[in-house]
Formats: sequence, structure tokens, C-alpha cells
Amino acid sequence: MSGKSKVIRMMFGLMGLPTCEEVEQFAYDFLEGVLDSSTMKAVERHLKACKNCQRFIAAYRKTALLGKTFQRPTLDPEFKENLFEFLVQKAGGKV
Amino acid sequence: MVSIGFDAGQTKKSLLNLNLVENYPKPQDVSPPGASNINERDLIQGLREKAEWAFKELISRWSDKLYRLSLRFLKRPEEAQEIVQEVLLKVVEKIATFEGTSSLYTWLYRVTVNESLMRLRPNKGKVQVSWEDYLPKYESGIHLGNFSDWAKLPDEKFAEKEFQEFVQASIELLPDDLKTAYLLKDVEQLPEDEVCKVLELTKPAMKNRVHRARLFLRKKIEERYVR
Repeated sequence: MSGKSKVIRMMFGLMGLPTCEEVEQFAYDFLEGVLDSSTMKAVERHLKACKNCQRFIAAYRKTALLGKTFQRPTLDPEFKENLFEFLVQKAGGKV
Repeated sequence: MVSIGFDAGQTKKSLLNLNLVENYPKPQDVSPPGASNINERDLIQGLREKAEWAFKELISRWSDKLYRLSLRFLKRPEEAQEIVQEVLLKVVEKIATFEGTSSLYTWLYRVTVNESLMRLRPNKGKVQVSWEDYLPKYESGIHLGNFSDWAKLPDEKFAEKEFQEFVQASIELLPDDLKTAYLLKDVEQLPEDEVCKVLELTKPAMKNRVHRARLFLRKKIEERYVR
């Protein structure tokens, strides 16, 4: 372990805070807001002290939200009409 | 609730002030897909009776959603249309014996995922990446290296076609299990419980897959747009 990592880890340990790796492991639940309050506060305090984890969480959050921005293509209405007739025909339905 | 037993902190600043969790959809904000006035039991009964309204409702409620999901895997609209047709035909053919041990909703998504993956396999031929290389590295729990601040890129960048195509191409590089979980949770926005049911996973396993997919994509974007 490098001297720098050792010092930072010791600092977080003394403050009773999770390590960067633990913050990463909490990232999913952190964004979902399902961490218990003491863990949430501990993660929050870590983030206040660690710019690197702030950047990580911000990018992680953005990644989680990206999917919402994707195009949402829909089927052609004509295809749906044909599909309806196809299903009815296959089922021998009442049309 | 997830707990690791940290002592309560003394911080007075809220998470919202850190601007890290705002706008993130909370579980209760996610509307269940397929909501309509006709409940599932009535729909199933209508399909069993081969009623016109039930076929229309089946298509109206599900075809676009299944098409989108299949298209995310297959990329070719014609093939995704075929999947929709096959899946809905299966519903019509098997509805008489549908036991309802899972919801129709879960069953439809599960069959669509499976059929899409089956089609994908024979002509997969994609470049294999060592996706673990894209996970953060630590030394005794502390980050090695610095993360970039790409979340601060202008919003226009995220809306650009080139950016979206890059992200979607990166999703293609994920192993099927991670890709499927990410598509259902973050792209199609299914509630967690439904993702678990569709993939037949425990919640921790589902979260783990989505998490690893996000880590991979976060790093891919960082490499492309920041360094």
C-alpha cells in the first residue's frame, strides 16, 4: 500500500467513514435512497471529504439516468393492425 | 433498508445540497408499465374467450414495449417485429393453459428477452472486451487514480446522436446478463421487483448486475469523452 492510500484510509477509519471502495458498493442503494440513515450520512460525509468520490457518484448517477434519454421507437400502426388480424386468425377469434 | 452499521454522522448538509441524488427517480415515482382500465385477470379471460377487445388490448398495451426491448437487443426493426409477433402469438396459443404463477407482464418480458437472446447468439460475433478492466481500481479501499468529471459535460452533449450511439454501442459490449439487467432497469425503467421476476433473480443479484453495467458504461464514457 502506498503511503498516501494508507494515510487516507486511516483518516476515513478515524472518522468512522466508509472507504472509497465501500462507497462504490453503496452507490446503487445510495441513488435509490434505500440506505439506512446512518449509512447514508456516513456516505454523505465521505463524499464531503472526497472529491474523487463526488466525481464518481455524479458520473455513476448520470450513467443510471442515460437510459431514460434513449429514443423510444414505436411500432408502425399498420404493423399493429396486421398483427391484430394475424392473431385473430390464428386464434380463430370473434371478429 | 441496507445497513452496514455506521454511526450517525454529524453532517448538517443534506444530500440534495451536494446535488448528487436530485432528479434520480425514486422507486415510487416509477409508474407500472401497461397501466390501463382493464385489469390483467379480465384481459386473460378475454383472450381465453378470443374476444376482439382482448386482442386489441394485448397489442395496445404490450406491443410497443416488447418491440422496444427486442430492438435494444437485435438492432434490426424487422427482427424485433418478428419477436413481437412470435411472443404475442405464444400468448394467444397458450393462454388457455396459462396458470398465472407469474403475471402476464413478467411472462411477456421474460419470453421477449429469451427469444431475443436466442436470435442474437448464432450471429453474435461481437468484439469481446475484458469488461472487468473497466471497473474502478482500489488500493486498500482507496481509489487508484482520479475520476474525471464527465457528468458536468453540457446537457447537449448527452443528447447528441453520436453520444447516444456510442453509449448504445458500449452496451452491446456487455455480457448478456449485465446488458439485460441494465436494459430492463435503466433503459426500460421497469421497477426493481419486476426486473427480478423477469430475470428470476434475487434483488441483490439484480442490483449487482445493474451496478456492474453502470460501472462499465461510466468508464467507457470517461475514456471516450474526457481523456
